[in-house]
Amino acid sequence: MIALLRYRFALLGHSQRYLPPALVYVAALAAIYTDPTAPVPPEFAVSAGALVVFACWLTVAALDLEDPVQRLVTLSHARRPIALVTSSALAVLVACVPLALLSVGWAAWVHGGVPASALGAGLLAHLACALAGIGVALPCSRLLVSRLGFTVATALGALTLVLLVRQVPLVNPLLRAMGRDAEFTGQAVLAVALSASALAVSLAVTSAVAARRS
Amino acid sequence: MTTLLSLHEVRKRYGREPGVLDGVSLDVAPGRVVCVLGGNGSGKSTLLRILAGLARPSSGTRVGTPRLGYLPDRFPAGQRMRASAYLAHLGRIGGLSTVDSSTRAAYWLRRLDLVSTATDGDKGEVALRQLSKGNAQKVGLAQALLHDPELLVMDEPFSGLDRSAHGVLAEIIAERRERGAGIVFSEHRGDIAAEHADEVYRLRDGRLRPAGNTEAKGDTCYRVVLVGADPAWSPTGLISVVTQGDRTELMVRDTHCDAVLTQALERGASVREVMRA
Repeated sequence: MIALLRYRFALLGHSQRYLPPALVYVAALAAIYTDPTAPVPPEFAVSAGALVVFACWLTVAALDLEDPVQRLVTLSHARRPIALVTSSALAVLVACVPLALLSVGWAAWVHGGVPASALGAGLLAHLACALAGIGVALPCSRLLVSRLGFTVATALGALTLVLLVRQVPLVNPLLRAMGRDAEFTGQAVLAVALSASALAVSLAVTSAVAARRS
Repeated sequence: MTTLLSLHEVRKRYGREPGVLDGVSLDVAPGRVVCVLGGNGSGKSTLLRILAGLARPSSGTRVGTPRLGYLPDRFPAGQRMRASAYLAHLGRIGGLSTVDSSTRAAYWLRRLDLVSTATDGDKGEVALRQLSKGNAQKVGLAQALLHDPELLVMDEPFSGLDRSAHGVLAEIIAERRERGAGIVFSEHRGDIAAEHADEVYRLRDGRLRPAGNTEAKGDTCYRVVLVGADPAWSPTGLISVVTQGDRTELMVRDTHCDAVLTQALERGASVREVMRA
């Protein structure tokens, strides 16, 4: 898996496809963290919500880097189809970590004196959102949807459901709690567990369907 | 007879399309070279992907787990990565150490003569996406050979390679066969199949049948050994060429043999041997 991760990072690095979503995310942070007197949790809610979009965008881009024949060549070395999908998801998750740290660190710098427990809960919230974003992106990616236009349309629809629909209990309850400036540590732990489970299901289903179609 | 890999009554269909393969059975034994002949769209690539374990049959069984190398028909070199770095990554993914991966990658790139052709003056080695089709195919062949495969599966490996690379590929096939590896490749030209394969099959209408002797052999070929010929010379009727120092060994179709000999003498080469292949 380490070798596959190194390969994924090399592909992403050479392609520079990580730059547009990363720049958009940093610009969003610059717009969010402007008022030192504003409450921190609602700002974390917007930042974490933006990380769902970032993770989804980067996952779609990462899985688009290899065309189907090149993916077969990689598979002939890795042997297990699920290892290919898992390595892409892990690479995106690792790429989300510095952005989550940047967001939390930015909040600490702007507001000053933010308790460590609040920063930790904020990190958990960002982690849950990164997991949810990757889980949403996998079935919308080139592995299952061959046309980029359909990928964008399905990913936007799925992101809208996950972020805005109250009945989808992945990160929406967490973001709502944070938006109300309420205590959200418990919600964040629950959201991490739910999003990680959703990502595991997404990985398994996407990998199985892609293998079946090959 | 021991087999490396067996397919039994394999069928494959994509969605509601008509079946591509319809009950294909095939045994690949160690040290045997198998060629699958077929036209465009006959299902050769699908069959080879199933053999390589990269596609699932709709029904039927695939038995055997040899160490595999796979070369697709069109190696997609669209990456900005350099060939040596790409091969090192694939080597590591397959379980080799970084040192082993790099050493083997360098060996195959040198053997396939990619070191000299894939560099751009002072800039050093160029990116995969800048390689010509033939050089990209050589990178594809190198990655298939990285792990010293027990079964080498190649989809139209001779397409896109220049004449000298044909010779190197022929050498590699012969070497792997001597070392007891199984080789399966697809082709649409009967003469190449007859030249390199121990068993030739024809894939038609989704069924695999042994190819007839005439069908497999195509034209009669002659082996012509020259001294002092230009290694880059590529006369009409040439099938393959192997160069060793000053000595050049050509495989030519019988219909062009006299013309090739005449042209060789006119170009100042000396004919040392002509024999029916």
